[in-house]
Amino acid sequence: MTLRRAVYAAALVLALAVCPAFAPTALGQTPPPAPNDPGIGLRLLEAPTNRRDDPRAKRYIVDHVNAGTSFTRRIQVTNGTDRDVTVNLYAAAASLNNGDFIPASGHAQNDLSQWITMTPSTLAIPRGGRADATVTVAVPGDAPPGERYAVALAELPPPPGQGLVGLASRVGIRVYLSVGPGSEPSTDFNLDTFQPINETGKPGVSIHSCNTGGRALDLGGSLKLTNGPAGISAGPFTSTQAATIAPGTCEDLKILLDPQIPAGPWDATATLRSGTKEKTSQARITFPSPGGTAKAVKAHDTNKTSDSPFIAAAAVVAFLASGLGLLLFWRRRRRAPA
Amino acid sequence: MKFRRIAAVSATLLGAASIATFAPAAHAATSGQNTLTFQLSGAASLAIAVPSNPSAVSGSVTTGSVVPVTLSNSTVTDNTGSLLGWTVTADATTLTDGASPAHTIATTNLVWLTGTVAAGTTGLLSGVAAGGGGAFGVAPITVARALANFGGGTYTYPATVTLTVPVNTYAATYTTTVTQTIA
Repeated sequence: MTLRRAVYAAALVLALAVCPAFAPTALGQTPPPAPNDPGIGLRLLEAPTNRRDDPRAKRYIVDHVNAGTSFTRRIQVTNGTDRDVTVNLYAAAASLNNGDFIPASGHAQNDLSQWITMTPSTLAIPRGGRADATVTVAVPGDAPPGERYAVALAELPPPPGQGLVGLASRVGIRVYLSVGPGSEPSTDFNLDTFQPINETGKPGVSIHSCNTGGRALDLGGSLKLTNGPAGISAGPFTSTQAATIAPGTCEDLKILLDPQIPAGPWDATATLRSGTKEKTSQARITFPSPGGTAKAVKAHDTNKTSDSPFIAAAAVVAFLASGLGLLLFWRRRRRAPA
Repeated sequence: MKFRRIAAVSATLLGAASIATFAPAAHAATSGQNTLTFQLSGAASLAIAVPSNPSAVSGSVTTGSVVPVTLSNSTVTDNTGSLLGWTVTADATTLTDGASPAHTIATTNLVWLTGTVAAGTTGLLSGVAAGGGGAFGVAPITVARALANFGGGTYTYPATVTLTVPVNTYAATYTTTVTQTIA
C-alpha cells in the first residue's frame, strides 16, 4: 500500500515538474482575454512541435519541407481600432537587405509568396474583435531547393475620405521556408573578425559574421570584456544592431559600449545567437581613440557545441537515474530471501 | 527495505520520464507531409495603428514647390514576448487624379521622414530608433526599427510626407496611399 502511494506521489511530483506550463490550465484558471493592441494586430496561433524551443518559430513561419509538400498554420487578426474594419489577407514577396527583413511594396510577388494562400482573403472584424484565418503553403513538386522569404500580411486599407495622402497599415508574419530533399540544412555561422571601433566617443566592436549554414539567421547577442587594464572586467553589453543574414553572405554586427570604457587591451568575448543556435568567440582587442580606426582581429571559437547544452545535461541525468534505479533493484533482489 | 523499493521505482521512473521528455527535442525529425503543431498560448500579437487620414492640402504646380503633409502619431505594439525585434517600412502608390486618362506624379517625388520615436508606458526606448526615411519609389523605406532583444511594449512616432512638385505637373487633385508595414 505504502509503495503504491509513494509511486503515485512520485508520479504526480514528476508530472508537475516536467509539465509546469500545463499546470495553470489544468487548474482551470484561464485569464480573461486582454484588450486588443491598438490598430490591427496579427499573430501565429500554432507552431511546429519540432521547433518548440525556437523563439523564431513562435512568431514567424519557419520551416524546411520537401518539394511537393503543403502545410498550414492558423493565424489570428485583432481589431484594436475604434471602428468595424475589413482586413485584406494576402502574401507578398520579401527580401533580406543590409541585415533587414523587408516585405515588398504592395502585392509584389516571388516564388514563395505565390505558393501561399490565405483563407479567407478578407476578414470583417467588428471593433474590438478578433478573427482567425489559415495560411496554406503549397510547395510545387518541381520547386528547386533553397531558402526563400515572403510575408503573410493582414492589410487595413485607408478609411474613406482622404486628401493627398491616405494611410493604410499592414502587419506581417515573416515566412522563412527552406525547400529541399532530406533533412533540414544546418543553421550555422562564424564570428570571423572583431574590429574595434570608436563612434563619437563610444568604443565598440564590429563583428564580421558569416552565415555558413543553409538557413537565414536573425543574429543578436552580447559582448563581455575581461582581462582589461588592471585586470578589470565589463559587460555584458547587448548588441545595438540586429542582422538578418542570408545563407552564404556576411554582415557586420555592431556592439557599442559605454563611453567610460578604457581603451584596453581587453579580451573581448562575443556571444551571438539565432534561434537555438549560439556561438561564442574571443579576441584580444584595443579600442581606437574617437574617430580613429583599428585593424580587425581574427577571433577564435571558444565554444563549438552550444547548440542544445540542456539536452546533453538531461541525457546525463536520465542515464544516472536509470542506473541508480537498476542498481537498487538488483541489490534488493540479491538480498531478498529465495 | 520499503524505502529502497520506493527509491528504486522513483529513480527508474525519473530516468524513463527524462528520456521521454527530452529525447524527442534532440534534433527531431524534419518536417514532412504531416507537421505536428502545438498551440501558442496568450494574446501576444504584433500590431500597428496608423493615424486617421491627414486633411487635404493644396500647393502650387510651380516646379519645385513643396507640399508637406504632417502625420500624427503612429503606434507600434510588440506584445509577442519574443524580443526578436521588428521593422516598420513604408511604401506609396503613384499619385493619381483618378481621371481617364489619369494624370500621375511618380512616387520618387514623395519623401518620408520619421519624427522622434517615443516609448509608451510599456516600452523602453533603447534598441528602438527611427529609420532613415527617404524618397519612395525605389525600395520600401525604413520607418522605424527595434533590434533583437528590444522593442517590447508600445512606441509612437509622428512623420512627415513631403511632395516636391516635379516639372510638367498637370493641375489636378492627386491622391496616394501610404502603407506602413510591420513585420
